[in-house]
Amino acid sequence: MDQISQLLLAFVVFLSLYLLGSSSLTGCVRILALQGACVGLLPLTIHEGGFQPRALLISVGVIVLKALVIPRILLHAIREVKIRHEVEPLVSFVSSLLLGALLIGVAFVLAERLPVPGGLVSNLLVPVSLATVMMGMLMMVSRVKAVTQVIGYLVFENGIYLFGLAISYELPWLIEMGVLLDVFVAVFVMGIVIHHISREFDSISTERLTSLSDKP
Amino acid sequence: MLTVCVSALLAGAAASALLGRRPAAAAAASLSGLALGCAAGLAAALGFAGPSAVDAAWPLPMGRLALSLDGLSSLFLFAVLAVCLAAGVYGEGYLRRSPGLAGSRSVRPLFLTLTAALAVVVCAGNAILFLFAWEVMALASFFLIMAEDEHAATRRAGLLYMVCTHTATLALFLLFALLARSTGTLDFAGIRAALPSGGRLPSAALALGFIGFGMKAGLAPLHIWLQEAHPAAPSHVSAVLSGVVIKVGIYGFMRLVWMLGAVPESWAWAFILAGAVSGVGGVLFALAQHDLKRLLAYHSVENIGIIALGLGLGCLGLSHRRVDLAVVGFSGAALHTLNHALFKSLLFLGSGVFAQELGTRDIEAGGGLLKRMPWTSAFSLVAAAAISGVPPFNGFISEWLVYMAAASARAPGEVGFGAAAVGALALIGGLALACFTKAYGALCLGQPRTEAARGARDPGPAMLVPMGALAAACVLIGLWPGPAVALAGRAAAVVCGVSPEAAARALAAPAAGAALIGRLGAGVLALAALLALWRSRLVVGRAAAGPTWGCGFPLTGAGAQYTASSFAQPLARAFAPVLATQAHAAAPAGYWPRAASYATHTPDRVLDGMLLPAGAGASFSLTWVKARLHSRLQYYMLLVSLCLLSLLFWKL
Repeated sequence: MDQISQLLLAFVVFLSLYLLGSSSLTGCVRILALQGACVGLLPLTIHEGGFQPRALLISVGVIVLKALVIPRILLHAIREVKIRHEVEPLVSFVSSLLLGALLIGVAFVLAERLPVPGGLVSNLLVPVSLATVMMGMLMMVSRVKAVTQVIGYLVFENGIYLFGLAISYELPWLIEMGVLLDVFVAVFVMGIVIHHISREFDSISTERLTSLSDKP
Repeated sequence: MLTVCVSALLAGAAASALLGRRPAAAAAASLSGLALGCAAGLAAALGFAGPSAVDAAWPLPMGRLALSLDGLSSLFLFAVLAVCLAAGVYGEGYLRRSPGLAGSRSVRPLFLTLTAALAVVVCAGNAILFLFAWEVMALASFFLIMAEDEHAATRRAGLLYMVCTHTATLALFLLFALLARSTGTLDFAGIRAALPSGGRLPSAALALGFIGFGMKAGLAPLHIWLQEAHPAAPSHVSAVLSGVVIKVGIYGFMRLVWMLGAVPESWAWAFILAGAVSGVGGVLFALAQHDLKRLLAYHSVENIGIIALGLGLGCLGLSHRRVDLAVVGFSGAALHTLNHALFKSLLFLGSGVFAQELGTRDIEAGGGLLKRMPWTSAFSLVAAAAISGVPPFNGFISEWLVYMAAASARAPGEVGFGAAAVGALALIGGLALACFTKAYGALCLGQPRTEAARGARDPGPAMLVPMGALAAACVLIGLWPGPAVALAGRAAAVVCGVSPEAAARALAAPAAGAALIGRLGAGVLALAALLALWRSRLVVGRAAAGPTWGCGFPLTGAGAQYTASSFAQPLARAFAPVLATQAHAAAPAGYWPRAASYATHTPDRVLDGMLLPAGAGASFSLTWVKARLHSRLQYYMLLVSLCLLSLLFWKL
């Protein structure tokens, strides 16, 4: 169990880095689905008590949402707006990768100082969750296209979910459902927003949103 | 009696506001309210009316309508009401003669409201009532400063005053919240009784008081509003602002020291240092001004510096448990407060007359006014001599007390304080004398430099009588200082927490010296009067009055006279690194020079030299950031995440 958790966590970080360095939108969505699947498998392996039926239920729910439903919605949105590549990131892909590596270091430093309750199999969980949160933020900050921003937001959500795994021995149902519902609503709203941005401005670049601001 | 005083003033304010459409009726209402209120308040302050305390419930939390009079409040109430009465009577004449203000309906009610608020501030026994009256005072004086708001300079001054006074109020809110947290009450007497001694509370309270009260009092480097607001206000309002509104800051300091009971030695140093900087800086910047009221405003900074020196010596006495030093220091500060209220308001009243007659506040436009406006000039001469600390006027008596306090700071560890205070006082006195010689000489002596100065005349008795009364008070305190020193001694006794008899014993030697100075001064004055009388008897019928400077220079006109700037130039050059005067000169050129000009401008070191550039820099960089931020959504997200990250790092 221990090795599997470590492997899954390392895979989550690796996939986040891959997302930072990738320019293909459909590729990004597939990676995101993979990451969702990894995150979904983690409840089965992370706790010292071993396998539990309730964890299986959560796991199935998360995998269905994060690995199947959300990626499908996003792929549909990408087909709708006919965009394939993120061509003009604010921070270049190489710099994003370097920054991502730096953020992983920062996350480990922070996690050292963060008091965490015991009962976890892996001591990698907190740093990985922090690193995922930060890389999600970095994606939202450094990308122009609305779809990549949604992907960044979902990575961010994955990080928060991982953190939730860390701080409670067994996630209470309500919190868990709340997280899933939150993500679901967010994707719906963003899907609609993307659709509308594309229809109004003939582009899904958020740069065009600045024409709504009070400055000319 | 206090209730009568405050309600008469407020009733006068209401009546004059309601009668605003009919200036004559409004003037009558405001004058009668002012006279009745001030008479009642002065009777209470001087103890003719028996003990007069008010204590009533007030529905505000922790608030009580508590007014009481002890020695400290009496002294300040006396100064407030005496100056406001004189300035209010003068103000009626002044309003009638100023074209911009004659139709104003707001000045009279606001003036009475200001007077009532000042009276409540110095008598309040509860912090909520104190702060309430403090804010009424600040707002009333703001609207009075803005009376002539058609001028851009006035609006700027009003804004600056508003910012400063609210900064001060914020500090006071914090101060009283701090005191209330450690004592559980907002009554001054309760705070004094329940305050735990020692700890860091006294230092924190004094630091907040230094900002709050020091900003109001105009202690450098918090003086920035004085030199802008005093010239902008109508002259009788300037007199009240400079005479008593800034003194309320001194009252606040003294009340705070009374509440704390003990002062750390470091704060004695701080007061002496701030006093020396204010005093020397104030008089130096006064020396470089051409605007009469701006010059007087800088002299207010200087005199607040002298008062702060007295406060610092008093605090030194308290921290070293030396009652005699504390009593003499605080008496000097208290008496100088009273004296400055008298002569500075007189100077501002005089400056109002000069400015009305000349049509400008520029002292270079005057000249020869002593012959054309003998009464105003004579009264201003008394005030100028008093503020310069020349015996036998009242300014010297209070400076004498501060000198005595400095001289008695002889114990080990005190010599430095005393020497610093004496050195600063001596420098201030000499420079003040130079500055008033300059201002008075340029205005009143020599030949008229402008047409307006040639046609200037004294105003009517409505304006001359209040000025005469203030001048008489200055001379009276100078020649017969006993009662005033005793009044200041009672105030100092309250601040030091000793009995009035003990304070009188501690003050006996300086008071005796002051009385001797007064008698010597009276003797000198009597001798001079006798000689003058004798001379006038001897020369009767044989002396002819000629034109000024009519001594055989037929071709020199008024323009060839010494100007105020040229008089001050050697001193201004000596202190050039401090003053940083900017000269705008167009020198005469060629063999047949035509136009040439020379103008100097001395910006304030703190306001124009530091605060405005810092504010402009901050505004510029924030505008730059805002322009960048508006361009992209992502920058907002970046800022949010950076903020979160730094919070995370800070908290872990």
